Amino acid sequence: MMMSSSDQSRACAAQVTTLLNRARDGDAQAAANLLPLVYEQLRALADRKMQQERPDQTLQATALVHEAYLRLVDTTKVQLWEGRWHFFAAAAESMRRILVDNARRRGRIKRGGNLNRVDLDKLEVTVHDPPDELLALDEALTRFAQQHPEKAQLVNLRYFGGLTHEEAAQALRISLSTADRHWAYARAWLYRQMASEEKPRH
Amino acid sequence: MALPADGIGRKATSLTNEETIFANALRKSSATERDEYLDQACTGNAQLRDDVERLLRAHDRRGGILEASPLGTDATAPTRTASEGIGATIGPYKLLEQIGGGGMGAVYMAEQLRPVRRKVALKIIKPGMDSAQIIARFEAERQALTMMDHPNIAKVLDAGTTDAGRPYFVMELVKGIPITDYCDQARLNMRQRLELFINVCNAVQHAHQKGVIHRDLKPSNVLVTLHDDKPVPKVIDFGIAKAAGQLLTDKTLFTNYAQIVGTPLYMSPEQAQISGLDVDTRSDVYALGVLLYELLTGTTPFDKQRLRDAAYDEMRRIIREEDPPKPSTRLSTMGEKLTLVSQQRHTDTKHLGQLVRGELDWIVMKALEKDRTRRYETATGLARDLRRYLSDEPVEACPPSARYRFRKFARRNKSALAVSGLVLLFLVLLGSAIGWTVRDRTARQARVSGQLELILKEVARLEEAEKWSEALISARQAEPALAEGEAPSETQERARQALADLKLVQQLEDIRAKSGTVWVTDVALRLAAQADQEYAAALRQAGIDLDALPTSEAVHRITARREIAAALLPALDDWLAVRIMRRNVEVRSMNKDEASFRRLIDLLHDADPDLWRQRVREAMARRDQSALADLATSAELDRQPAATLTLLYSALWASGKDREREMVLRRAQWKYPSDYWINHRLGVDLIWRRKPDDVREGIGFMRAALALRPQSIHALLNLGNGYFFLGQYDQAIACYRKMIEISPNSWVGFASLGGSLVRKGLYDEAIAALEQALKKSISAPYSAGVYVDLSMIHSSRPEVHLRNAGRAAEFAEKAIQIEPQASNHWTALGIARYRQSRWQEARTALEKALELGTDSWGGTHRWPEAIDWFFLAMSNWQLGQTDQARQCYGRAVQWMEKAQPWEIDIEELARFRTEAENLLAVPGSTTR
Repeated sequence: MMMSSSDQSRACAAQVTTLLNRARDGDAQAAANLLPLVYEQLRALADRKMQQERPDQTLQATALVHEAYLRLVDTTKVQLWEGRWHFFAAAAESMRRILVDNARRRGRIKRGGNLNRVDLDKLEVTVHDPPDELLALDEALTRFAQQHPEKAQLVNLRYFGGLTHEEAAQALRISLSTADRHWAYARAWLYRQMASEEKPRH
Repeated sequence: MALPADGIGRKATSLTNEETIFANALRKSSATERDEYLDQACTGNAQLRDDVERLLRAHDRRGGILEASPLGTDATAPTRTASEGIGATIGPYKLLEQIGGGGMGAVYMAEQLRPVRRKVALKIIKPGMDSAQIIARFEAERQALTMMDHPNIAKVLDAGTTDAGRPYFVMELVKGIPITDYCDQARLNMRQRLELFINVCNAVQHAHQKGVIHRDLKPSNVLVTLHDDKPVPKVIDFGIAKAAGQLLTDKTLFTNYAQIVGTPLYMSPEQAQISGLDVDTRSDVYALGVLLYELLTGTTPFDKQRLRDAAYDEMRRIIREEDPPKPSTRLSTMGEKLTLVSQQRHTDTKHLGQLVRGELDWIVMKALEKDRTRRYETATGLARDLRRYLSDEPVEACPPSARYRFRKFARRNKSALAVSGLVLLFLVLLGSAIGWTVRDRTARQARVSGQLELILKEVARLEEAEKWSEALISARQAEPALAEGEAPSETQERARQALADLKLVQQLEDIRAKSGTVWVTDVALRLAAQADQEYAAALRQAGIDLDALPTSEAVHRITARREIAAALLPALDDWLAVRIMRRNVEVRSMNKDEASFRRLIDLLHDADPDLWRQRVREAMARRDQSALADLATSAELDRQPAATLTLLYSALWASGKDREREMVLRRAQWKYPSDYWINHRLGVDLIWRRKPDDVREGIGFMRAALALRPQSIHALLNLGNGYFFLGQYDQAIACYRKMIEISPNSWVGFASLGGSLVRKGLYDEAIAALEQALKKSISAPYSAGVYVDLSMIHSSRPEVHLRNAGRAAEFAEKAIQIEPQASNHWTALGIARYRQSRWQEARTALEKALELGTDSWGGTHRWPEAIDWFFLAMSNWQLGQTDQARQCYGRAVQWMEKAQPWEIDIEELARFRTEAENLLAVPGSTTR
């Protein structure tokens, strides 16, 4: 008999749960192995959502991470926050890749090459942020991470991982006031970087 | 590539510098101070100065991409500028004075400046909460909130965000004091307190009817003001706990460091659960219970200090598991404080205890039940019981009965009770042994009543597990004892009621299993119409005639049957879905049934106050496709109980939203792998797609369903169908035979068995089974299928003794009479006419079959088109039209080449092909 899709997702969930617990116990490889699993799940979910009637990115991204979490993590076995935050780190990174890929694709469509006008119109209506801005943010963030990896991770967790400020602070084991400071700096830095990149581009 | 302004090449020290200078500059309160600081900190480094200035400008930027995460959280939340204070203006409101502060934020008296000048209360949510979502949630509820109009509810007027991004709510200003304080200060006696409290219940009920749950009822949210010296209670903060609070509970799911809105003293057990999300109107009933407890005794059910000192998990455990003392017990252990408490209630210590003991105890404890299904269903229910108490009528609440205690015990000791079946058997044997020796009437009575009690216990256990078929079988064991009529009449009455209830459930489940299987075709519509009538009839017979009773009475009759409520409500929901499906498709039936349709919705709203389900029902009644799609993709879906998911499934079914339907079902199955109906529906959906992989998966779910209810004929039927589609006829036959064993009067088992036996080549047995089916009360669309099966046996089998072209034609004509739009009925007639050598008529019938194209099941039972073409070829040949005959033959072969394997995997098809080839003398192409 074939393996049903629910069996597969259950097997996947067990794997993720194990990886999370190992990552919590300090296994760096486990944390690395987590990313492809979470990414796959999020992308599959995202693809399915995009096919549905209202591909409203803003609304559904939250649902995506929630849903991925509920699907992939056996909450009875991963009680500790340290275990969970690895999941959100992976989810944040995955979401970032998905959104960036998506923005690139939309960028291409916008510049022509796609003849399907109906689809284009649909996208225009539903796209929340201009894709260029998201790509610019992604570039700036990559650059920022080279100098301030921890602060960049804070942005990642909050912006792409759907964590609140407090949760992100706890995940990074920094105090709330440090997180405030880091956020203010990161935000200003990124805006400044994006502004300086805008001009030469035309 | 030019080195970027903040390139990696920059020295580390200047980086740290930049960060520090930036942070320090932010702390300067004015622009001048800031400039001075920068002048000094960046002396001699123009580049650094420029970098920092650009940082500061970037910092002041609003509305950039980072301000709203694509994930919907508000990234700017922690930007804290405390610009709200007395004298400040927020939107059209001017803050006058702070009148309160609490867990969620500060409350101000404010003056609204436009469009009207008036004083209002303005509550600013404290920083750290997610303003965008709070406002979004509030907006979602705004419409419901504006619909609330009740003298005992303070209206919520407006909401918005301050300049600093903090959410605020504007409410009708209530100048009052908490109800508990008022009652004590005014030394209200018990009756006065209860009168006041009843008003509060009615206000809460009003909100519930508008779809608003308070979620944070407590004395400080129930204020008493004086109107002409008359105390008027006002409930404040409606809708606010939801906007601000649900968010927090959401968060607990992710982080597990729970934050609690308000005080745990008034929190219901379901709110204290880990997930803490499944809150409905009954959570408010619980909070009202706590408030009543406090009005009676001056203390809350759980000790304030103890809850405060307990660790978070311990606190939650107390709320979920510990039974608080009854109010009278609490009073009796109060010691010295009792004197004060009595005085505040205008009575003395002795009288107070007497007053509370008994009915008031029961009423309070019923409102405080851990299991919300045992609480008052509604706030009005609680108020009504208090009214009864005040007018010396018997109250609905009662002391825990033996049965109740047993059920509680059963819940705690499920495994221990697994042996109770054996005990039952033993006792029955013992009972009959006693029966031989003791002829005494009273002893017999005791024996019968003992048996009945045991049966009732077993029935209660099965009902609790929602094993309805099994419960009915157990209850039927009581029938002989009931016929003897020697048990005490009270026990008999209960057994009789249980039996009647379970028969009703069985009926409803039967209807339900039939109603949701196929999507819109003529047959599906006919089935829906039938289900509609059957539901109405079954309920009417059970004394619940929706068209004759006032809604409130119907609600009462349904909620009174607590043991079977878990089956009644979903059946009513299914009925609603059936009606809506009819309404969506049959325009003509709309107006006539509108009133009774509306009554059904009202009934469900009152009988089942769950908000989510109400939303689903409303969306389906409004035919609001996008609302349904939203509900189907909502992140909250995973937190809904199984009953909600099955309802949502029905709603999607009734609206023809197939993709969402499957998604919801799969999510539901993932979450509730042991829910019967979810497995059943998912299994049926997959099996009827008839593709082998789908069928195999569907069989898995169907087997799960069967394991959950081993006596369910519907699970057996569909499991059998699954095997049938896979060509595993032995297993299919076993399922159908088991069905017949369980329910020998049902035609379905016989009809399905006949179909499988045909495939096994057991034609004589098949004919016997099919004829049996026709003898039972088989309904029209199904009997057509049986006629067709019989017709085909007589027209297309090579066995001589089976050949009877005349009968075959007769059966086919009967099928056509029932359903003239089904192609396979015409195919059967065409073959029969061909066998009768009536070529011309054969050709007409076969052409008709090809023209119709769909079968009676909307395509799922469409016979291979090749059959029509082969017989059309042969008929043409017999009529001498050889060219046409060859063309038709070509079409048949073409079809077979393109068909899916499972479509042509039919023994007859190969035989018909050979027959046609031989007749047309096509050179040997019999390979396939």
